[in-house]
Amino acid sequence: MEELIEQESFSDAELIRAANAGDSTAFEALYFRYRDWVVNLAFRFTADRELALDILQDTFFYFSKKFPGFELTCQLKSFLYPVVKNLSINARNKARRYQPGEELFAQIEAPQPAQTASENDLRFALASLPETHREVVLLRFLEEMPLAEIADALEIPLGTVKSRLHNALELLRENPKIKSLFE
Amino acid sequence: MNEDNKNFEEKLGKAIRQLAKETIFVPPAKDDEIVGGIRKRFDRQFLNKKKEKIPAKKIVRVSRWQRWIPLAASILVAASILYFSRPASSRSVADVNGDGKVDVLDAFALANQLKSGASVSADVNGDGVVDEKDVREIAARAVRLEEGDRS
Amino acid sequence: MKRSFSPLEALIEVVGFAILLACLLAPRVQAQSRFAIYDLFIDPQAEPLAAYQVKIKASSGHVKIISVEGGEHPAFKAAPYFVPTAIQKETIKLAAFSTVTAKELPEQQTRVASIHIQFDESEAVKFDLKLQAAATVNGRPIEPRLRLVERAQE
Repeated sequence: MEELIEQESFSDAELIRAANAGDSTAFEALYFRYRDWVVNLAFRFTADRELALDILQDTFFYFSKKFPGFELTCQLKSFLYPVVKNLSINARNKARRYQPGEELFAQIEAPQPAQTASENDLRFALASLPETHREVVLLRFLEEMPLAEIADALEIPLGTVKSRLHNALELLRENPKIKSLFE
Repeated sequence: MNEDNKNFEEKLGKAIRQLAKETIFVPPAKDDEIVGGIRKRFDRQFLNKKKEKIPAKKIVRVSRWQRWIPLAASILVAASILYFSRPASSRSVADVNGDGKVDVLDAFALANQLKSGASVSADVNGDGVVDEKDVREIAARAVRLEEGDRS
Repeated sequence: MKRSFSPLEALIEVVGFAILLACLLAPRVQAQSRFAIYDLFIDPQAEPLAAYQVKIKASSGHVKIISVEGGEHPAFKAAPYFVPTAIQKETIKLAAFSTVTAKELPEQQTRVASIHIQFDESEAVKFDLKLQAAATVNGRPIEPRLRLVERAQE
């Protein structure tokens, strides 16, 4: 059976190597590869389309300043995640839509009138988790990142990721409001 | 208990992804703006830096066993040509829309039939099941290059 | 000291030397290489575009296709189907389809894919572009217009 390629054939490492040598089209290939993931992550942080698009631009401008000389020591998503997160917090600060202590994942946590009651229950349940635990849960189940990548992205030990995830899942399991969602 | 945990996590993951189903579409104008900025930045950043030349190949002394490499490569190329020029015995099965040729419209037709749940007899890859893999196999045949295009 | 070669050994020496020579000459060719992106636009002329297949062949410019990316419309955002043997060559076939409803398909000109190429800057790049198949939602063939345009460098 003939093998198909449904994505670009160059790995991130190969594209980064080419970009370090001055090839801007290699960097553009990386932009298109990660564009949608970055903009949707920014939207989840800000719940604001215009802000998300600005953060997309700022993220790749920040990334492009690392060349030449950028060295990929982890998955590219693990590198980009804290960049997007910090830019999102700054953007929300500037827009005065974020106060310290407010929820980080605005799109997830804001109750939507059109959502079902059980979906709003899940939102509240997630909002009730400690922020550090909620972040791990969302990276695991929403971004579908492996635990090792979560550890890289958050710059915490793998053991800490595992224990936060375990504790968060226990809390969610015990929450009577969302129990019915999973039966 | 482990099975319960696994089920719970699967359902939780699905429910969380459902909460965040709204996605952002990046307008082409925004892409142009960002990519334009990237190019300017690269031009500036590499302006004063000597662009790396692709390193020249080293002169290699060919040892006795390395002399066999060209022959081995020739055998591999010949085998590949023979393999790819074999007759497509199941071509008629892959011609899902019956127009006498195998192209993307056949993959499209099969994908639509699978999506609608219609019963289909297009087991192109011969694994006994008609599924997405057969769609991909048809698409692979559709974009295969002809003999003269592979130089 | 005399050394004798069998005909086979002589042939292998010649082939090996030719390959070595090609390797030594290659950097001189690559040093004149440039990169560019060409965008493939399809205009289905007011019909919902559900599937397409095109053949792109470079007719001059010592072109090598090095990468493929998807388009701008959500229905064609993922990179199209192509075979890996086309990479580093001058010919490629691209094909994609979407099984979404007609409302979710493009009806006006849209960029469906882009190819990244490496070419020899001393020659003008030219492509032959051929539509091999296109259809709307129910598989009915349509005749869209195609364009392959070099993306402007700023």
